[in-house]
Amino acid sequence: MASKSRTPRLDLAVCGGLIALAVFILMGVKDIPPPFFDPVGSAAFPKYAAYLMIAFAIAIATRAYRTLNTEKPKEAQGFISEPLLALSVVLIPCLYIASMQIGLLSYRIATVIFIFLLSSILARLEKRVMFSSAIIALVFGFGGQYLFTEVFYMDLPQ
Amino acid sequence: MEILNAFQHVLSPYPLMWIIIGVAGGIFVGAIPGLGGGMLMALTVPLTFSMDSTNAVLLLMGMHVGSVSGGLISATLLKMPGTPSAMMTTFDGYPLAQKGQPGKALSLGIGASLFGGVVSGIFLIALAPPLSHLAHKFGPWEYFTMVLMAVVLIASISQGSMLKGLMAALLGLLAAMPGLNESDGQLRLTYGFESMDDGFNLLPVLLGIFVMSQIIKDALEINKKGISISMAKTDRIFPKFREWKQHIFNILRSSCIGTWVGILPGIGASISSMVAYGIAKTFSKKPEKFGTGHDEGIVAAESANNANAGGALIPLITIGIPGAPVDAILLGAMIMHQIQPGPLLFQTNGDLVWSLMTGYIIANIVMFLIMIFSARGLAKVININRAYLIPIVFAFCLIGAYAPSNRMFDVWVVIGFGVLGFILDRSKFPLGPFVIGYVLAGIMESELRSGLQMSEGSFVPMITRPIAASFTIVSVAFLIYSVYQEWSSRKRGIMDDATAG
Repeated sequence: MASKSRTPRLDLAVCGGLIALAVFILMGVKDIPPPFFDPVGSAAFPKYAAYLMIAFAIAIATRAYRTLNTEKPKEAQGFISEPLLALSVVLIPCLYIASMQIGLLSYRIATVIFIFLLSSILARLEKRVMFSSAIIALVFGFGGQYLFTEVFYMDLPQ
Repeated sequence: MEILNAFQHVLSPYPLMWIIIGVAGGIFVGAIPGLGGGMLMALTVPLTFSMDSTNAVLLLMGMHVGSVSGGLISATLLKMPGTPSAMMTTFDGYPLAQKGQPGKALSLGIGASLFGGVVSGIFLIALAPPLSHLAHKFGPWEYFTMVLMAVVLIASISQGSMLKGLMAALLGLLAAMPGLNESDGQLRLTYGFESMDDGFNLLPVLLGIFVMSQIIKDALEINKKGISISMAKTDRIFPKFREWKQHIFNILRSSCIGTWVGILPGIGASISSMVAYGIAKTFSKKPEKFGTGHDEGIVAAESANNANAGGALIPLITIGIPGAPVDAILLGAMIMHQIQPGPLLFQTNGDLVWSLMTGYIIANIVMFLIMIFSARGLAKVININRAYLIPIVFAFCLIGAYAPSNRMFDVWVVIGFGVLGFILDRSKFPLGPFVIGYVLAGIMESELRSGLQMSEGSFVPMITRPIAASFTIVSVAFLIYSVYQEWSSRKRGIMDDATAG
């Protein structure tokens, strides 16, 4: 059980986000009608959970702030060592989904591009891996389309 | 009679085939650092919809058993636990392998895993029916306080700060709130979005938290590699009887610890192996040898983490509460197959329960055989380039979320919860309490509402009903203990600083 925060800066940022989320939930709770056949109603549970979340977030943030003031945080080396890689890992799947959702690409083509692109980036454009991943991408894209539509009867984006 | 029929059923070709597939897949995934049993199970759930429910549950359970054991291979040969539950195995497994005895390290681990699994399987068969009978007496207050206890236990025992554990559990509870409330048919927290009327479905949330967050983490740590120890052709993996005789007491003790920790709702296998390892060290005649490649350390850690899997099935089957975060997936799969775990399960789906319990023992035997004969081959797999694996797992994860309802919204939910899980993990918020909180939120709220209706708004039954009161006392005791632990470690830290200054 750690008494000091090991990631004080990140804790402060996360707690800020969680407090904002709790406030957002409390705003949503206002729209829920009052209980009419039991003493609790649908609003009570999320409301008190959000209050507790704010209280815990303040406690964690206070501890993180104290740690930050008293000692040099070890996390100063960096939260994410490779921000571009991190961004690609989240952004490429988002583009993959969006391309199918707006009807730009079919599942087959989108999957081939997605697997090839992500593999290549993760392998730092190493030629041998890129060649193998192109084959894997084709097999998975075309094979996956067949498997999911013909065997599992799924309605994939066309 | 039921047990014999169940063994007969599980040993028939189809169920046995699914167990073998599950165990083999679990071992393979468990052996590769970064991929875990939870990930494999969450990805497989959508593929089981067209399967017979018993076979589906046996397949998933086989994966669980296999992955817990598979983690030992990379823990021993790479010093990177394939699954978190194999963390303690690295302390002695890797040093023993470094000393030139990787075969012995693996054989001790594999044998201990088998014993741990079988012992907990016996406990499972012996304890589940009477506990299920006892659970018939549970009313809303008993259920509410028990869920409360599960959340408090996992938040308190999670590694790191208790506050962060509680916060993660709260976040999980809140993630289950949006959508239609089944208690009164009221829509809530949808913010006018029609897609939110169904809330965040179980499978996309689990895929996001278990799979997506892990693969984002893996992708960012893709260059992190352990120093692999290769196995010579002459290395013996089959355990020797003589070695086992001297460890029998340690195995039994660690298996009992693993089973008991597994029964406590919400606590996973990594805690079991930590506790068993610590106790084995305390009682050992050579405690100083622990951490240097000592047999007892490997045996304690591996028998406890496998026993935990069986222990964790007890609360799942008898009261419908997952014994460990990964069991939440098994619970979700059962619900998707129209099976409601809980006290009535023995009456409504008796055949399935007995098949599940006997299948668990068979899965452990299958695990032993596969591991013994394939460990040498698997040792080569652990160094597989993850640049190939990550995009495929990603694609499977997204299709897995899309499959049950053909909704793109669910795929975005995976991404959202994956990013959330990754951020929480980076800032040392444990993900176990989040999953337990999310899975148990519905039952917690509905039982509390029923209880308050019965007591006309009074919380007093929490301390006046004997079973509910015992759960409340355990919850409060754990909270106080955790606060005391945090306070005392802080005080120790201040004292240490003062001494150092």
